[in-house]
Amino acid sequence: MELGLYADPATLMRIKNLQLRAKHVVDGFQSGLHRSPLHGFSVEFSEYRPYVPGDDPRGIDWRLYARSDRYYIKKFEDETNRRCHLVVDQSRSMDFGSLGYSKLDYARTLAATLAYYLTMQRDAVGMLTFEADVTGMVPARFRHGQLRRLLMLLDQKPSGVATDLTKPLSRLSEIIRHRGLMIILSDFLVPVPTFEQQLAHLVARRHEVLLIRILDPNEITFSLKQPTVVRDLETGREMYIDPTTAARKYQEKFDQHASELSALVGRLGISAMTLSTQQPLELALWELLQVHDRRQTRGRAASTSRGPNRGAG
Amino acid sequence: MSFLAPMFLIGSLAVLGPIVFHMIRRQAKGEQVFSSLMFLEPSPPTMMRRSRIDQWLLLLLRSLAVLLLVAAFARPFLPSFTFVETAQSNVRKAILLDISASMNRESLWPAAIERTQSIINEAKPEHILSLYTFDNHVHSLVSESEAQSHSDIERKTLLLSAIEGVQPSHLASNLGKALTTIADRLTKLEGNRDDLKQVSSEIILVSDFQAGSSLDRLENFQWPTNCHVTIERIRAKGGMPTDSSNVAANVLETKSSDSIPIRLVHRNGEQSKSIELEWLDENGKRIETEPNDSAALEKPSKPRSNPLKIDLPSESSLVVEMPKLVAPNRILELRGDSATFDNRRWFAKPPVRELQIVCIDDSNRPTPESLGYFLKQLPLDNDVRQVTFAWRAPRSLDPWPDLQRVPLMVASHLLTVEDAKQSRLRIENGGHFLWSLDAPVSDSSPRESVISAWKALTNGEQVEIKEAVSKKECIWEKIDFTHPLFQTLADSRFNDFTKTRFWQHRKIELSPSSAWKTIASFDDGAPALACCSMGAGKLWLMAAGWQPAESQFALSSKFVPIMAGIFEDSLPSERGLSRLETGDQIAIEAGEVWEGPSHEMLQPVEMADGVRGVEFTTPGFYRVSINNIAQTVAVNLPASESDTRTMELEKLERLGVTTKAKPNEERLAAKEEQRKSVELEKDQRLWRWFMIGMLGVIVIETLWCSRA
Repeated sequence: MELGLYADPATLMRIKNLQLRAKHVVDGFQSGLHRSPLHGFSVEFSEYRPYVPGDDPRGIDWRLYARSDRYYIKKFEDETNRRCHLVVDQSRSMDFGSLGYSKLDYARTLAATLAYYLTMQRDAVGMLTFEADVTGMVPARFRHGQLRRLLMLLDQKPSGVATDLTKPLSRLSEIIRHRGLMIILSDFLVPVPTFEQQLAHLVARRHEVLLIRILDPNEITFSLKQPTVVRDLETGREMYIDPTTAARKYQEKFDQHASELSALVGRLGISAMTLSTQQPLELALWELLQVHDRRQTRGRAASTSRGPNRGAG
Repeated sequence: MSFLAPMFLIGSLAVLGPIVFHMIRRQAKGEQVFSSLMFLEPSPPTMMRRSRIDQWLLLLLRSLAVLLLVAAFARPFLPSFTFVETAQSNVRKAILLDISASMNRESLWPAAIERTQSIINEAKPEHILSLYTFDNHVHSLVSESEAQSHSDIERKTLLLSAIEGVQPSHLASNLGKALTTIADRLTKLEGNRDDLKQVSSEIILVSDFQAGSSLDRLENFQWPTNCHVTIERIRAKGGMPTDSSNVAANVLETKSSDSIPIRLVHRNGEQSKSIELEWLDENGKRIETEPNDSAALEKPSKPRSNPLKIDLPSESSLVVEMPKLVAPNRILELRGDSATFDNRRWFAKPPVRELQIVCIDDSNRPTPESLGYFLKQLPLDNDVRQVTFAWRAPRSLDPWPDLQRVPLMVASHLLTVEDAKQSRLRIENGGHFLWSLDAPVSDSSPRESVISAWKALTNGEQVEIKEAVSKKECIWEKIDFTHPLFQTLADSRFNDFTKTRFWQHRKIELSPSSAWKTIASFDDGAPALACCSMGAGKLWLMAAGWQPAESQFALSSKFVPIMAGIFEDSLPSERGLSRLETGDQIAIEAGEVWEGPSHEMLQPVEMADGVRGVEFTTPGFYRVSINNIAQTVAVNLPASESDTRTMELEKLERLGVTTKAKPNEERLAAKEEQRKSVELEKDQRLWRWFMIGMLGVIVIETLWCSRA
């Protein structure tokens, strides 16, 4: 992957219109439908699988039952494109930026890009913004004007309070019943154990989760040139920081937090990527495609292992 | 530049403060926001290398402010020679030499003189040295003004010549009075000299510091702050410590008929001493008779020797009995202790006064029913008086007795108007008169005669006298125990009068506006015993008789003390001639002539209250003749002077006196230097400029900071 081919984020941020920014980013990617690995009611048969208690009896193929005296659920390929939710962190810590634009600017551009891209692929895209709680939501739809609504939600000014992933993720799992792809855009600057359970709930609801961690280069590598009183953007707490002694400890703690986060990702079997705000946004699209590929791979593997032969057998 | 309080310069270490603060890397360059402080920890202050200190000017300004403040507190001054010379002329010293009787011990006096002379010789030219001596009084030998009017050499000559003829006296030591007098004098001189700087005065106290010295005057005296007392304790010549042990003998009150008790006190002795006591004759010569010879000494009931040898343990007090004297005047000599100045005690037997109580009553009834029967038996005799009793018939034409010989007359209800008039004259001239209404006045005849006598006695004072009507006997109920007559009976053991019953009494209604004072009342409210001062004398009135027909009073235990009290009250006040000490002053009465121990005429002195009197300066026998009647009185050394234990000098300090032990020259010089420094600093007050400078530096620093 050659980064030089992609648009420079700093240049991109100069474009005021969010849709234009998204269009500019997505314009390198080929649009096209992709098959959903998810099963639903459709006319196109997908597979049989043995009935297990709890399955909807409407799905039982009575003809096959008549033939084999066994219950089989008849599965059809879902024709609908995938349902995707973009979850954007708008807390005050996202306001930080050392490159002339903040992490929030980057996140909003990225969310717009992903929404544009997914809309172009005829996917149902929804959006949810949060700070300490959910502040705005557009349900996932594929219809005319959906992209405009998403961009309008992104254009709303955040009121700016502290990051709290616990509440928004709980709310997310309550609100969104249909499984789909959850793309969470945040800096995740909260202790990892605080949102582990909520993330696990999402996964348990069979949502596909992609964490995109957006960080400023200054956050990844702490650099202060001289002793400074540093003020927390969220709490307003001030602290005297001497970079000679503080940088090493910062790096230790930051790395530990990152490793905790990646350990969580590993445990839950979800995808995650970290983007520095100076990195091109296309990287997220690549990651999205990879997620799609992984899903398809997993879907095929599952259908192969649970084929109708066994049910028929 | 010097500093008065250089200890404050330690505070200059505070300059390290600004330096350290400048070296601490705690200078935040503005403020920076950050997304989250969750990965950050506050940095502790760190020191930077000296070469990295910036803001050198600020550091210098802050250090300078600290140093100026420290310097101001250290009270800087510039030494100035000329000023010191001026200040030196203000040193004022007074030598206070003890000449009390205790200075007569051993070789104390030559040592005291020698020390005083050396103090005079060692005095610096700028020291204005005056000289005082003290015993019971303070004597000025060379006063401050005299000392100041002479040059240094002349002053020394004057002082040395003044000290030459001085000898210790026989008076008690009153150190408190001497110190307060001299301190007052020096302080007043300070107050008068406004032109000079206030300087400290010094009293050089040359004394043996015996414990008996009186310090009472210091208790209510505010000791001046700028006056110090230098202690010069005198020791025996040769530097040996003085033997402060002493045995004191005191003649006690004679009680036994055949012996005289002597109290011996052995103070501060480390071992027991063998003491010999002996009576000497009036001229101090041994009595050349056998101890039991009745010619010289009264015959004792048990044999006592003269001289008497006693082994006296250390720190003990013992009463021994010496044979009683026949001759009135004797000297008791004590031998065997080291301090001989108080070894003689003079003893003069006071003359016996012959007194009489005359009772105006019917002399034909010397029976228990008469007043005089009990009066006659009153035990009123003692060593100095012999009291007899006599009757005087009413309307007697005998001459009235001498007031000196008969201070008290007693009368019964038979007092006539003529006798009453005469008695009033006696009372007004100082006599005392006790009138007892000892018979019923139920009938009009006796009542009228009593009222007539009353009016004659009280110069016409109105009174109502009648017989008290009571079915039961009366007692004394309301008694004024604050009256001197009853004071001795006020104790709960003696104040029960309920058993003294009065079968009958008279009810006297005294005029409330009169001078009568009711001392005791009957339980029916009528006065029982009253008195009234008339002229120089006193009239007593009893509303009942004391004989058994009237009451139980004569037979009660209260009779003797009350009657003795009335009699004693009638006697002229004692002049205290039996217990005179050196230093005592006594007023001269008209016609008195006093002779000293060497038969010299005593010159009258003016006493504190302006009365002419005589002062006893030496112990011995003094003779006083009043109207050609001679009496010998003994004057002894004050007992306090025999207490030769060493006084605790802390006692002086507890009383507020600023003392210092004998200072050495270096300490004196250092003290003097310190004093000069204080004056120079006070004069220059450089600390104010340092404070102003410090404030200026702070202002510059503040401006510089705000500009930066």
